Amino acid sequence: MSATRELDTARALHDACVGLHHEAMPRAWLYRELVQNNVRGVLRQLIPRATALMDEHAKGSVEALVDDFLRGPGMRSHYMREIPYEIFAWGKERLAGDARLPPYTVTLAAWELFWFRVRIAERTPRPDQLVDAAPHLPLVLESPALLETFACNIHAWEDDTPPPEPAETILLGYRDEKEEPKLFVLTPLAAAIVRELQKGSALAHAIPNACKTLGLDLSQSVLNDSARLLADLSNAGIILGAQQT
Amino acid sequence: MIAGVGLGLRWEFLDELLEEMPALAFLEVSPENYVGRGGFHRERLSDLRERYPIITHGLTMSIGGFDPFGAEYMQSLAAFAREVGTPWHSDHVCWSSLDGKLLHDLLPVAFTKANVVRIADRIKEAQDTLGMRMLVENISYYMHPGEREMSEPEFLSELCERADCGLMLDVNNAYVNSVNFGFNVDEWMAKAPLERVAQMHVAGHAWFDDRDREGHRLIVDTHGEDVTDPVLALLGRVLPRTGPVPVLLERDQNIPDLAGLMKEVGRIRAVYDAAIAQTEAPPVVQPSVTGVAR
Repeated sequence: MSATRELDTARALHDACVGLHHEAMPRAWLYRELVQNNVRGVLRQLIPRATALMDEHAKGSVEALVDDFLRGPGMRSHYMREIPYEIFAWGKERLAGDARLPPYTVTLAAWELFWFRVRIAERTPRPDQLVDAAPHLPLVLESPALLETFACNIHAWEDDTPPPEPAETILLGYRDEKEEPKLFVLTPLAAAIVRELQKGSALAHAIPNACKTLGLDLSQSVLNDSARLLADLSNAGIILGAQQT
Repeated sequence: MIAGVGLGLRWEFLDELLEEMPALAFLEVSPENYVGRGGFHRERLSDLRERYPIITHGLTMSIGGFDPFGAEYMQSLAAFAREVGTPWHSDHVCWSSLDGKLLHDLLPVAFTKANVVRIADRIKEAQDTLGMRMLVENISYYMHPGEREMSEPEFLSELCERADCGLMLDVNNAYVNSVNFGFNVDEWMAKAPLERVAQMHVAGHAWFDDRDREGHRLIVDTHGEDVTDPVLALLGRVLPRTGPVPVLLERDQNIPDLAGLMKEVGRIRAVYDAAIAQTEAPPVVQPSVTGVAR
């Protein structure tokens, strides 16, 4: 068999696997089911509550989402745990526009994916030499320290509590020394400061820059809030020290 | 040298394993589950490395594929393999990606002379990139894509010879294929390059209705059941010819607790010990739990 025919055969099998066409290839149905079930399984595993909502309010929508994703962009990552992120990035507008689903479904999926990322994100190596924090030095933050903004306080929502109301919520996810995932709920100012610190701004610049971003005056209140934030981050082990430039 | 019966590491029994540290010759891990990942499970793998030899077994290299190997994937894989100190890396004789899209399943390659050449070149490239020997695994396949120019064992023999790689003999896969395609599995083994076997897999399988042939059934390699007696018996017939290579129990679905898995390991170990006693080579002493051979 020539390489071209070989490739054509592989392409036909690939297309059958993702349901693009149903050419009469023997046992293509089995491969299609193996692929579909694998993807559906990992999606349900990583976003169990969001997929449960989809099952409850829009029966078949999980399966349809996966099938359309496979027929469309398809899986790109070698790592199965990344596939739900790919599906979500592609399908979140569709989920948001599905009137059958509760309005917080997309936020719940985003939260579940965020929390999984907090649990498994790699730590970046710490710099060899850290010095005490000083205003003119960039702080070194523990990793992971992931910031994400949600449309409601979805992290506090339990299945048996009233549905979350819209309210912008900024979360900082990190892990402690025992690898336990933890959360801070941040104000917009605190989040802006953390973003500045993560960019490598020295403390003396991070707070003014954050104020500029948010259109705030550098008031005593801002400085007090900043001091509390830095104390909280230090106590949680997120601020490791400073790096000599 | 690693010999004896090992277990595929799954997170479902990770805590139990760390607590009980049962006697296992080795643990097999899939790099795809660990590369780029931190946190609890990654840290526990470091703990387990202190107690067990680790062998890596990949899922998505797509050895038989048409896409070039992903540089980032291969580099990460090489780094992981070095980190855990695996004696070799194995993956499947299959393809699993096309035009950059992955299927996360093992799709069959045609047993043709052209594919021997093409896939052997890819194996050599992978071995060069990883800087270590590779084993290639015979898969369970449910169809043969296109024309077949040679038998599977002939294909594997020529492939391993040309690539100068080892064979990961999956005994269950050979058995599953023999039932689904109606050939004699002992004749298959007689033609397979058993001299190149460096590791073996055994697993359970399940029966399904074959929708393409009404009234017929086929076996699917689910890794979700106990190893069947015919597969264990086949393992017992093959081991005297391969010598004391490491044998892995794969269990990916319906995973029992560690006690249940160790009971299954015990079944395999009984077959292993009896079979190795028939070989001319002396049996290899099982590594102790704490003083593993590397």
